[in-house]
Amino acid sequence: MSKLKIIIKDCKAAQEAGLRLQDGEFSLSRWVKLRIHLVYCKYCKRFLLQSKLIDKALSQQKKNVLPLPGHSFSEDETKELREMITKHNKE
Amino acid sequence: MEKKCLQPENWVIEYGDYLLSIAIYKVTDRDMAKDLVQETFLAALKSQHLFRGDSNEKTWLSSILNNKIIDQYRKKKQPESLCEYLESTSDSFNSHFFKHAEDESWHLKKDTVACDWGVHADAALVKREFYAVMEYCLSKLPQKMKPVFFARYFDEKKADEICNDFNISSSNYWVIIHRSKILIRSCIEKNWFLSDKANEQTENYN
Repeated sequence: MSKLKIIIKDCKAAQEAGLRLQDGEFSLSRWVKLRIHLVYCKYCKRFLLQSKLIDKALSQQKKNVLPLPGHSFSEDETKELREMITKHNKE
Repeated sequence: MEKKCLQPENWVIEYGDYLLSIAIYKVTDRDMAKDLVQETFLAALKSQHLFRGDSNEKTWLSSILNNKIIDQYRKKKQPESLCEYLESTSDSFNSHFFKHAEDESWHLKKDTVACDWGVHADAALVKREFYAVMEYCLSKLPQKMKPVFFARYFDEKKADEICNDFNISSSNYWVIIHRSKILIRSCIEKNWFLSDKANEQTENYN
């Protein structure tokens, strides 16, 4: 069975095809077969909708990367790094 | 456009914690992340003359850090390659989320199918607490898959560039993205949408 034929009945292949399409890897054949799969599989449809929401959240998460607990340098580490930069910057 | 100048004396204060956070996201291990940030600063000092001022310092330092992470990933003697890892974990992963039908096709298991997150699922995206859950779920991704996943979603690199950087095939790249999405989706569902947190009044992002 070809990969594209599998998409019609296989949830794993359909989800992967959906992710590829969401990522801009367009193929008409893949799109048609995915549509057929999604007609009868509400769970894969849901998965792909939720995947888009996760993409939005990841994009937001990236913008809001803030030093979380344990994700920041201690005073000693900061001092050490600053001294290292000063030393190497003079060389 | 005004060209920007480098100010190394301010790097640690201005970008140190940001770079450390990015590195921890990608490599998990704090000590390793700290070393990578240190190496980033040293590499940046050595290549100050290459800074053309087109981007800002933060972007420039972040790209050096990303290259350091890729270098480290390539250099590290992996007990098993990413390809072997994907193969060796394929059965356990697939059998957890999918069932194999007689015709060889994979179908979702009933107890792991996507629940309906409701019509207001988007509302989660403005809640600070939601991002703490996201952060937790991202931290739980398998170590081997993280650098590839973050290259796509944090560095916004294209698939072919990532395959080239990490020396992986396109099909393995999609296996990683698919598995990561399944794991994150499942983790968010368990820790946000099926918990009480989703309905609590919480502080919003402005």
